[in-house]
Amino acid sequence: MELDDMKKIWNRMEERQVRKEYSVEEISGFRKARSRDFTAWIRISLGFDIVLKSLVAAVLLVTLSLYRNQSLAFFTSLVSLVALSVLIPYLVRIRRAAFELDSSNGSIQETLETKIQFLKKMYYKVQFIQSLTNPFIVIAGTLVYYYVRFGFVPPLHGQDRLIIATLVLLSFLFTLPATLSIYGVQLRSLNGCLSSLTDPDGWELEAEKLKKSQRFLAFVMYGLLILGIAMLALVMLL
Amino acid sequence: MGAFGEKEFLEAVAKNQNIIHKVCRLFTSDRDDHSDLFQEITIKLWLGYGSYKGDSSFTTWMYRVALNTAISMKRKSKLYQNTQPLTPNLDAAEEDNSFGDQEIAMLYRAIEELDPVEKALMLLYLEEKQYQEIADIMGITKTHVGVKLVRTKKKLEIIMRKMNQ
Repeated sequence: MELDDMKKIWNRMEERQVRKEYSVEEISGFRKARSRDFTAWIRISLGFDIVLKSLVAAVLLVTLSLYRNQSLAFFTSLVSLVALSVLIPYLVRIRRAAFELDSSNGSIQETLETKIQFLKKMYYKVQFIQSLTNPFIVIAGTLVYYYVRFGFVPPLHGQDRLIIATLVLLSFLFTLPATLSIYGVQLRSLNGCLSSLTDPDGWELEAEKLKKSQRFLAFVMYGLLILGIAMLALVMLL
Repeated sequence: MGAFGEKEFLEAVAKNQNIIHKVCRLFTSDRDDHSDLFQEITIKLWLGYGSYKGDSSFTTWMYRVALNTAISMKRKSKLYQNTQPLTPNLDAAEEDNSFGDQEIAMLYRAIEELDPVEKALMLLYLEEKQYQEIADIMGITKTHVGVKLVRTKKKLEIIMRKMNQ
C-alpha cells in the first residue's frame, strides 16, 4: 500500500467516523479535572512528601526543646531538623519545576528533552530524598516514644541500637525500589521516544544502556547506604 | 492568558476537537482510555494556553500539545499496549469502492504497531500537513521529516506484509 493510498483511506475513514462531540461546557469541565500525567503524579507525591516532612520537622522541633539537657537526643533532633530544613525547600523547588513542565509549548523534541533532563538531573535525586521521609519518621517517633515512656532516652544497648538501625534502614528501603522502578520505566519510555525521533537506529541500544546504568546507580546507592549504616552502627557500638 | 480569552479558548478547542479525537484514537485502544486522554489533553491545552502567543496557528499548537501529551503520558492499563484493535467504523467504509474493510483495518492495526513518535508523524502526514509544519511540531528539520517518513512507511509495509502472511 502506497502512502497516498493510506492518505485516501485515512481521509475517507475520518469523514465517516462517528465520535462524541463535546460541548463547550463539557470541555470547560475537562480542563478543571485532575491530571493523570506523570508530571501530575510527581507533583502530588512531592506535595504529600513536603507535608509529611514538615510535620516530622515540627515534631523534631518539639523533641529538640524536650531533650535540651540530653546531648545525644538533642544532637539527633538537631541534625535531623537541619537536614529537613535543607530538603524541604529543595523539594518545593523541584515541585515548582514540575509545574513548569506542564505549561511548556515546545516542539515534541524540545518537550521530550526537557522532561528527560528534569527526570535525570532533578527527579532522580528526589527518589532518595523522598525515601528519607520514613527514616525521619522512625527517628522522630523513637524520640517521642522514649519521652512519653521514660521522660528521657535511656542508655541504648547493642540490641536496641541494632533494632533502631534496622528500622531506619528498612524504612528507607521500603518504598525506594517501587519509586525507582516507576521512574525508570518513565525515563526509558521518554528516552525511547527521543531516540526514535533523533536516531531511529540506535534507540534500542540507548534504552538498554540506560537500563544498565540505572541498575548500577541503584546498586551503588544501596551499597553506600548499607556501608554508611554499618559504619554508624559500629561507631555506636564502640 | 494566551492570545485570546477563556471563552475564545473553549470555543476554539470545541470547534477543533476533531484534532484531539484523532490523536486519542491513534494512541488509545478503548473508549475509556480515549476519554481519559481527551481530558488530559484538554488540561494540558489549558495549562499551556497562558504562554501561547499566537506565533503558530491555533490548530498547529493544538497538534503539538496533544501529541506531546499522548507521547509522554504516564503509561497505564491498556494505553499504548495494543491489547485491543482500534475501532474504525468499518460499517461506514463498506461503500468505499477503492479499499475494502480488510485494508482499512490493516492500516489501523499497522499504525498501532508503530512507536509513539512514528504514530505522531504518520498522523500529521495523513492529515496532509506540510513538511515544514510537521518539522515545527516535531522539532526536527524538514529533511529529517522526509527521511523519517520513508522509514516509517517501510516499517508499515513490513508490518502489513507480516499481517498478510
